[in-house]
Amino acid sequence: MRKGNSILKISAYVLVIILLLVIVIWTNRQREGTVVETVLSYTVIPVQRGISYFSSWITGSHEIFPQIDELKKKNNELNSENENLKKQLADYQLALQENKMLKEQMNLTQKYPELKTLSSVVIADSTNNWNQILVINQGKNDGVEVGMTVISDKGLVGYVKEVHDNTSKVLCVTDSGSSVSGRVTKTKEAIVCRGELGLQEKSQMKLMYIPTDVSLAVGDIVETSGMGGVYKKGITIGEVVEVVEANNTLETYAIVQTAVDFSTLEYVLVVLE
Amino acid sequence: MRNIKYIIVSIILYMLYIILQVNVFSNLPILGVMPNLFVIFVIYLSVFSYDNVTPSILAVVFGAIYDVAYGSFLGLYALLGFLIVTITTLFCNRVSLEPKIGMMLYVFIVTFFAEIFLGIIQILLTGSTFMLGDFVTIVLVASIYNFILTLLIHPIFSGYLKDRNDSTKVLGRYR
Repeated sequence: MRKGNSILKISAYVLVIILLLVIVIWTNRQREGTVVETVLSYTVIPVQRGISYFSSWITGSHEIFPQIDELKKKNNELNSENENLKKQLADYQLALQENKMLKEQMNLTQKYPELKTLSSVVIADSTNNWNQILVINQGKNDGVEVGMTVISDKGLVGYVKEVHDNTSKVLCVTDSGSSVSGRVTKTKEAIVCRGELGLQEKSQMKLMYIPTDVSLAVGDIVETSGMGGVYKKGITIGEVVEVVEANNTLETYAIVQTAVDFSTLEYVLVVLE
Repeated sequence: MRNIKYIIVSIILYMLYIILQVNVFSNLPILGVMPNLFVIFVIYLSVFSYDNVTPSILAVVFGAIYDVAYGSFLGLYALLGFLIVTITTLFCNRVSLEPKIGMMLYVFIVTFFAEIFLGIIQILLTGSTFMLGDFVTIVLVASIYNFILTLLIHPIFSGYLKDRNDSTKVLGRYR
């Protein structure tokens, strides 16, 4: 009886593990969220947004504290004046933040006027060591679809891998599973850019399959070629910072510093067309 | 009643974990590697539980929420959570994780295997190139990072853990 129970228990454990493994493999593709994910995302997203706003509030507020400490040291006569100054400073910081945001958005739309884009805020960046995924605050309800290209004012960010009603996940070009068909801006020679584990945290990519006759030099700019159908043509990927030459195509490679600094990315544009 | 209390505390700790992982430790990498607070969280979830089923369910639910909000594959962290709870529950029946060094070593070992598991899944499912040096660096640094964090975290929970173990022992006598 006891043996039968333990067999049942082990079978239940194995079943759960197999079930979860099937889900992991099944969800490894570009897709829209399932009903369960949509329901979960409705409960998670408000909290996630709250956390994001709380974080920016903390980052914004810590600059005010020294000012408050200073105000406390002032004498009573200057107290009222200091209160005004404090208020003005807070307003100024808010205006500064808003100005920065508008400027970035302006730059974004001015740089790619031919593209129909949607401005989004990055609400969470990569949270584990193995992949680089950004969560943005626009989803299916805003017209975002799976596979859409995502850019910033500096260059290519990635593409929409998963879309929910109000948020989307963007797979960055530097992710170790990402591959971009590119070309050297100067010579128009085609190359392949791949994300790699050791490079993704430095916002770098590896240029692979470089034909031996291709003249690649440090400082060369690399852009998307438009081949492969994932990314639009002519979007800046980055700049070559190292070239390792060999006798054959397979061993020759180069390192590209992406134009976008993924560690400080706040605003992105989703290319709608 | 104590199970309800356990679930409420778990939810609060889970929210704290998300805040720390997303807003704090993602900006504090060592050699470009972040700690894996999910592993620490799930280990403590298992250690403080009064049965085997509740922490398993919670770990799967919390893992799935993480997968939906930030993950790359739905079910990956749910599976990881389930495996950690199962192993920890089995381990706790034989060895006490109350001493600080015991818990630190256990966190190190579990993180080591958890990161290998996550890395292998990432490589297999995305076709990433396997770079041994980078792979080993990520696994080792994440394990050491978690080891150090446990040193800071464990004193906060050790008192509760002792009380919980004592109460379980007393109740066990009258079963």
